[in-house]
Amino acid sequence: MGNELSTDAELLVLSGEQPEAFGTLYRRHAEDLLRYFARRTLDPESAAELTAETFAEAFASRGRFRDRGSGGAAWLYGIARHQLGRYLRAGAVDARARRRLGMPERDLSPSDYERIEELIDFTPLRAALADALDVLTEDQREAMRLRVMEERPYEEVARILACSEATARARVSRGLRRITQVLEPTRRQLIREAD
Amino acid sequence: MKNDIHFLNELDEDLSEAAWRESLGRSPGRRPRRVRQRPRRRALLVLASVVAFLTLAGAIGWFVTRGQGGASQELRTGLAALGSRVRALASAPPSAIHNQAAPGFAAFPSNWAATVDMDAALQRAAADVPEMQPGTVAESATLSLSRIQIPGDMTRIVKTGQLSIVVGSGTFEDKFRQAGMIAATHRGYVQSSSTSGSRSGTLTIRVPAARFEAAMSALAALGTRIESQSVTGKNVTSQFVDLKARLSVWQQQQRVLNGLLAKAASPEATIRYTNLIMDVQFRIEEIKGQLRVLKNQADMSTIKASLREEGAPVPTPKPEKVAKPNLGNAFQHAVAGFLAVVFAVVVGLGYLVPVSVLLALAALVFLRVRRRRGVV
Repeated sequence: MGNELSTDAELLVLSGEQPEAFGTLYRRHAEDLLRYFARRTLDPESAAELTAETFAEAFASRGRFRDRGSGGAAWLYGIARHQLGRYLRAGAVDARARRRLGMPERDLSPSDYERIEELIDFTPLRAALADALDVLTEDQREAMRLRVMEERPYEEVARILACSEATARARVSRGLRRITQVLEPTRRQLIREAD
Repeated sequence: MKNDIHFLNELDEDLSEAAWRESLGRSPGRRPRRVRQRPRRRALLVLASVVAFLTLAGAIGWFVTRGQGGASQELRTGLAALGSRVRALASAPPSAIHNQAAPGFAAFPSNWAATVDMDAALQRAAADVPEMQPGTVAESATLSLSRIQIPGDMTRIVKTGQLSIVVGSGTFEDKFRQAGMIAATHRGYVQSSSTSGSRSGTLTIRVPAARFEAAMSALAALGTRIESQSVTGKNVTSQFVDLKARLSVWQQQQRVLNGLLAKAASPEATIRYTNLIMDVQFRIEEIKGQLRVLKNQADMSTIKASLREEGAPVPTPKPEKVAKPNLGNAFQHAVAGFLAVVFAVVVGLGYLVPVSVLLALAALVFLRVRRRRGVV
């Protein structure tokens, strides 16, 4: 395409005339942005939706981008922080930009789900999680221990717990959601950062 | 560049499609799905909104009606039910009338219980009059509030005063006698009096409401000092209006029965109507009696004066009887309360719904204009 060497700011400006140039910017930052959201929401589905909405919003409002030296990535992450703040306050991901562009809402496949979980990198959370696990039910705690603490694949988690993979995934997901509520101070800190 | 996360690849394609559409100058062709929210959270949100809306409606309804969903509303409900019941009675064939229940009368308060019996009796009576045509009863007995004549100024206040005065040493008997004369001076009378030894006593006098303040002042002037004084005014206007309205209803019932009695074809029917008319007459007299008592209480104020000589021991008041609530009425009060709340909510909805629709339309227009200007 010939845009690979352009800066983010240049791509954004260029995409005003050539919309397809936005694709280069997307491919450059998509995974990082997904990781950004995944680590803050601890929820693969929400992280994926936030990523989609952020890029849709950036695409829809790229005409308002002005290069003032901070770069296109900073502008993109500014939108991301705004989306994250909304999500943390409302508990739901907005879809206005995607609607405006006519983009569909897509579901995560099981493999994507696991791949995004890998992006979360639970290492810094492990100590806090170990204490917070007490608030979970026995099933959730065991699923969380196997998946999050021991990093076993869902297939193995399901085999050990004698349940389906979907059930194991649901237990981990509910457990993570509960943990997020318990770690309220951390959550508030994230909201402040997002704002 | 392909990513190992399939979702990101799909998103790449979606964005490319959006870019392609934009380059062609086409607007998005299909209507996207709505924002996905967690169903439970959404349900809670909807529930909370509905509760808040109804609460607001109730508050507005209560404010608008100032809590009239109670006794007066109860009366109106009863009257409406009675009217529809009588209309139904008139249009139903005699054979059907015998077997009908009287659900409409359940709307009346407990002290209207006799009405239910009256309804059954009216049904039986109507069935005994072969020449009675459908509509006859409805024409003569349809009850509506518009037919209940309420005079202009119905304000009724029951005034009660209490006075405890100390009189000079050795003057008790003289002052006590003067207190009795004060009642007569103000066109009133002594309702009761009692003395404790020769140094203290109490008397209750009744004086016309217009003379109440003057009588209180005159009694106070008898003492060297006033130990305590209180005046209470109880507004019984609504009670008075209710009784008047009930009286009007019973009097209309009486007129209906008199009409039926005139058309009675058999001696049995005549006896039955006579009994019913006596019952109604009893009700009318009872209400008239209550009205007389209420009127008397409002027209004649009560003053309870306690006099004692300087240095005389303070009489110990007898402990008053504690009124015990009647648990039998609790359920009826609960039903009345429930209906009053529903009434307030319904009235409030009448105000709130059109306002909400207007606000929704205004919001819709605002959003459309905003979107056209391209504001994100």
